[in-house]
Amino acid sequence: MKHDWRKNAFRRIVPGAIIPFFILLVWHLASSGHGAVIPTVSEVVDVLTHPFRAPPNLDSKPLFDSLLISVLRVITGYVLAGLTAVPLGILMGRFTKARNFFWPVIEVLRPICPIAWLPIAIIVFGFSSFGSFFWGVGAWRHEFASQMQFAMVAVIWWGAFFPILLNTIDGVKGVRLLYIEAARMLGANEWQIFRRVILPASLPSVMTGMRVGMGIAWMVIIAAEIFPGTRAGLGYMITTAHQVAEYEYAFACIIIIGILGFLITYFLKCISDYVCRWQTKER
Amino acid sequence: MKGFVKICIGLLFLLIVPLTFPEDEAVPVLRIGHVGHDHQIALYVACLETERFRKDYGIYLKEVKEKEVYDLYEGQKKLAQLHLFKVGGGSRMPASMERGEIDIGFGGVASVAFFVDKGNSFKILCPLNTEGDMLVMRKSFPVSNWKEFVEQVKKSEKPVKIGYKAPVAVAKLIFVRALEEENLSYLESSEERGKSAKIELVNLQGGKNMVPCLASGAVDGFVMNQPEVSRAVVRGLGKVVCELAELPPEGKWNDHPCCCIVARGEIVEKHCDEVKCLLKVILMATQLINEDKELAIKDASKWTKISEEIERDSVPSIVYLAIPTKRWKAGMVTWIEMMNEIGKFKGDLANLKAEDVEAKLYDFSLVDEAEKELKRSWFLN
Repeated sequence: MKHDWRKNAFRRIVPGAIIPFFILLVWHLASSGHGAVIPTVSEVVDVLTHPFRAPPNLDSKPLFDSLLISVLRVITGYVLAGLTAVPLGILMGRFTKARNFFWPVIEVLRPICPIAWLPIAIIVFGFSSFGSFFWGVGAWRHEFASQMQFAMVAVIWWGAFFPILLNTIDGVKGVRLLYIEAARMLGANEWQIFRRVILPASLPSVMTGMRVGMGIAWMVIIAAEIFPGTRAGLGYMITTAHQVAEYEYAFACIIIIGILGFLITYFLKCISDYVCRWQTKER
Repeated sequence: MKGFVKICIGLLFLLIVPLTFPEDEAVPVLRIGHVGHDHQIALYVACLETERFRKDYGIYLKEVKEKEVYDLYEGQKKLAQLHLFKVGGGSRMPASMERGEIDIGFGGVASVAFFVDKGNSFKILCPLNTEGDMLVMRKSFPVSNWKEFVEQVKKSEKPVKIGYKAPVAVAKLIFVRALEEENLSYLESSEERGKSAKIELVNLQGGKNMVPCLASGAVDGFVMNQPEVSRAVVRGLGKVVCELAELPPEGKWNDHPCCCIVARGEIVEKHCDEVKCLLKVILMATQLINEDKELAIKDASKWTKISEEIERDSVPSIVYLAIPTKRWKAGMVTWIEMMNEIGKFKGDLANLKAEDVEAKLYDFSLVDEAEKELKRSWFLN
């Protein structure tokens, strides 16, 4: 039994490790050939293993602080996107009039890349942040709140909003009429139909939108953190590392973003599997 | 459920309590935008050398929050609180000022002039530095001075690719003018496809792309300012061929302008005492930089986090000055004339005569007063 477990683990891990191994090998060879530009694996590992150290040759907060600030910005924008997109999606999915009202605007705005909104977000929101909103000129006393600039949060919100919205609309629209009619025949009112039939039936699609939205929010934050006045964040670190040619920090941030993206997607998938567990039992 | 409600009320309370006790600043707050490189070390030296300034001059900046908040003192009196924002280079600083996010900016004169041309009432209060622009070629390129460069380019069968930071960067304009003086043909890589020339100019979209482009061979060299030049040299990627101030027409580019301090017109009027005191600090910091290069290098490295090795190469090649000299003013006029020649100014600075530049672009009244007062106190040489 024990032997089987080891054998299975070996079979699962080894194939997945082949590509990372080759990437590391190519990286090692490339960095030894062009040491001036590409950082060595050990330089990047040194950055990753000292997350609380202020970078000695980069004007940035420590890696851990930057990670935390980026995560906070993403979560804020993402939660706001969820809170706005899901109700609107339900409304548009359920009522044709609402769909006809919003659809043209959404179809025009949807293809616009979130990053394209950054200059406009900067004009609209300026340097204002949650810190300056609550504490005015005393915002500097509140480290994390002053780093939560509205412009960045707005751009993240934009990135996450549309995948969640469209999947919610599809999910609600796709609920089989048979379920709704059956519930109505059994005497359910509109609220009960929504709560007991539409919401659970559309949840798998909503969760897919949430997962896609999270991925886009992470992509957007990296570009959004070039925002003037910022002094922290993984995107800021990558940009600053690029400016001063200290690429080990950029590599370290990219690795962290990859791992974090994987963990968050896995976490959302677990939630999705849990809340939609009925789906696998459906015949 | 009850627990959840309690947590929500608690969070709401935490949010509301600070709102009911607003944190008033008793002194005016001046929001200052800067780029964060070694052209502006006068500000960074002033921020880092608090004790020295306090003991020697009695006018100093006291750290409240590292790199972000400093109190401006004259003797025992706190005059203002400075909030520093790293806004980035190029047009970002004047753009932030235009949007009203900063009151005073430390940045390049080129981008400031473009915003004045657009109709903004910004005033240059004093210069910060000049020169430090250089022609850098990859190490294997067989030249060591401008004359050899010209000969090599003339001999070369393929066009030599030279990168630059931005289309209106002073370094690019000087280089292009020198090419014209030497009768060397050039073209922008983005235009005139199919044509050939001796020099192909490549827009590197900022100094950040200089290292990868030089390392990958995308360009043979670049014309740029410090500390990008020293970064390429120290990293072993390139070598300095010449300083751009030496390029033809001879003598035209001496003390060509680079960075300056600029403020919105209304800020100068409203907070003239505070701004004058800040200028005094900058004047004394500039003097300190010129007297003690080692301290300047250490402070530059400490603030910008650029290695001391690079700063040791970069800082001595930059001319730091805060008093607008005749040569600096002449350099500004030359640059504005050049911009007008190529039709870059279309608004307030278009076809402006040399004598009108001063009224439109500068307000040296505060720096002149600050200089006189410091000289009276024997603080300034």
